[in-house]
Amino acid sequence: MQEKITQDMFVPVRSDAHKQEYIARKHHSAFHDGWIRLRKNKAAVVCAVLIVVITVMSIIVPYTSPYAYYETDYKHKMNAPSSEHIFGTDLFGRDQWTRVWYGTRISLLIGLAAALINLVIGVFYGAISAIAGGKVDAVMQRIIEVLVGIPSLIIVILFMMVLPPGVGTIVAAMAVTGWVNMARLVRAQILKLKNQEFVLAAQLLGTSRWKTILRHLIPNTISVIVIQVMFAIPSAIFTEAFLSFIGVGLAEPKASLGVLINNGYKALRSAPFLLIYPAIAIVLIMVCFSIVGDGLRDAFDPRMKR
Amino acid sequence: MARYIGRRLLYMIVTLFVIVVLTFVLMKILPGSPFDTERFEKLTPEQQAAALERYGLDKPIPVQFLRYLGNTLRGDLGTSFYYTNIPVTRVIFSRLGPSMLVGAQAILVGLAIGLSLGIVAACRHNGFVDNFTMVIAVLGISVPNFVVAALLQYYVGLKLGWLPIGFWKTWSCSVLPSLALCFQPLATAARFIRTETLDVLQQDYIVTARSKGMSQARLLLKHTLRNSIIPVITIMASMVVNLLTGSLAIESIFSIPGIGGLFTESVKNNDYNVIMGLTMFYSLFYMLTILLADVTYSLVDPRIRVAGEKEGE
Repeated sequence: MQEKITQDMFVPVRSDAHKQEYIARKHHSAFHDGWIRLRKNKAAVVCAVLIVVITVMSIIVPYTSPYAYYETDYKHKMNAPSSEHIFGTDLFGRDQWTRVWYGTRISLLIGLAAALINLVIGVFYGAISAIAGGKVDAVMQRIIEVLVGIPSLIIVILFMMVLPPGVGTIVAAMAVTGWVNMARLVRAQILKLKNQEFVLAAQLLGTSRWKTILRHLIPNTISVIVIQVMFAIPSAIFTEAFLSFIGVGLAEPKASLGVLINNGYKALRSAPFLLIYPAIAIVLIMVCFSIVGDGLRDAFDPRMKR
Repeated sequence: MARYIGRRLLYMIVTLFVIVVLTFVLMKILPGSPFDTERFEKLTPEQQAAALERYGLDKPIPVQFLRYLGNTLRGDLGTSFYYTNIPVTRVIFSRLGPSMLVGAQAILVGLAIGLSLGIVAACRHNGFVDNFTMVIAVLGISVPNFVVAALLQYYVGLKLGWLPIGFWKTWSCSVLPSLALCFQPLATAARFIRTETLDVLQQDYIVTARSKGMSQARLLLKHTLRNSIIPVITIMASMVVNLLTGSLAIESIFSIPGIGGLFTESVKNNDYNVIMGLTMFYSLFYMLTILLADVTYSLVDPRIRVAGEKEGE
């Protein structure tokens, strides 16, 4: 039995170019990609959660605690930790539990504020320098090269001694030279992107200058910025603690972790617990930020992809 | 190369000028005068005014600044007000020794331990030493050195009584402060050398060398280290300056008569010439060290041309 061969058996199957190129896997943006990699990094996730917990606690505890951070009680000076005062009391009978959390709040605030100021100045400076190019870039880079040579700690200490003590002063003093690194990183990143094919393609297709900057250059720089901020926060917290420790930081009864560590150090012989708790707090915060920072860098820095 | 160094030196002069102006202005805003501190309590207001006039401190600030600049260019940094009439250079150099000793010890110990830990960690990637090193690296960077110093002083110095604390006489007094300071360079060195060594060990020429039967030690020392040490040099440069010129907190904890202490002291006493001298000394030292590090790169790795762009892979 032979089947009849008809013409319609030889109609070519129309191929759909779209269907051929169809990618079944869901589309991931670069961010989503990084996010997936970050989630796999358990240490970073744990630390990120810890940072959130610490931040929330530092906001809540001073409000809910029965004691205020400045409330003195001379009948209970330097009490060891007990159910009434979880971390004990300090030289003036102030509740250390409240003070540690309050200090954490101030320290985090300073770290965040300093990092944000560095971010704003640094990103604008770096971006303008890189995008403008030419003479503007040359001049701006010479300015940076001059600023890089300034030993920042000396200048910060001088500022702290000249201006009245307070959170604002500390942040301002750190902002004087703190933004330089961010500016350099952002400039380097944008310079690298500026000459890549996708930017050229965008320009060829008639994308306006501003849209190129906003849609193509800035989003590709964000990972660099975020990573730098994650490292800037602990370094600002450290600088503040250092300044308070050598006595040019915040003034009593305000407390930051640095102030608490300084007070604890002075009372170390009779009440070591006064140093231990704020010390643990600052170490925990620094460890968490640096691990999350590392995690972010591994996740978002394409060069680190293996 | 010579042109590059020349250009860098030019920048240094500009930077130094900016720092001098900035410090001078800030210093003059500081409340008080050199002669109203406790040390000069006995001076009557008239005598104080006379002292100010004698040192030209009653003139307008721009005049004072120009005069200071002129003297400095002639190599005269003036004398200390607090340590009456002792030249600033002598005051600084008399305090330099202890800071340098503690700093140098901390760097050497930190580098030696940090580099070996980092290299071993890279060879045994994901092994025990590797994990241990990473924990040390994170802790070393995260724990403030003054906390370490305070704890060392309390437990090792006071409780155990192994080492002297609270005064500065013999070499043994420098052990604890050096220990407290060495963690940061240790952690930083370990971390960077580990990452770099891991990177280099994966490259083809290492595989080749290995397949030719080269011993592990020779491979590491002759072929790997030279490539992996470069970022460490960069990072260490600024750290060296910070440590050598004295960490303020450590110096006050262990009562070391170093230049960190001298700096705060001079700011508190409005000892203008010492503040200026110290700031200039510190800045120059800082900039020269960074320049030295940049030049060292090109010696360690001839592929890097100092003047050119340093591109990533």
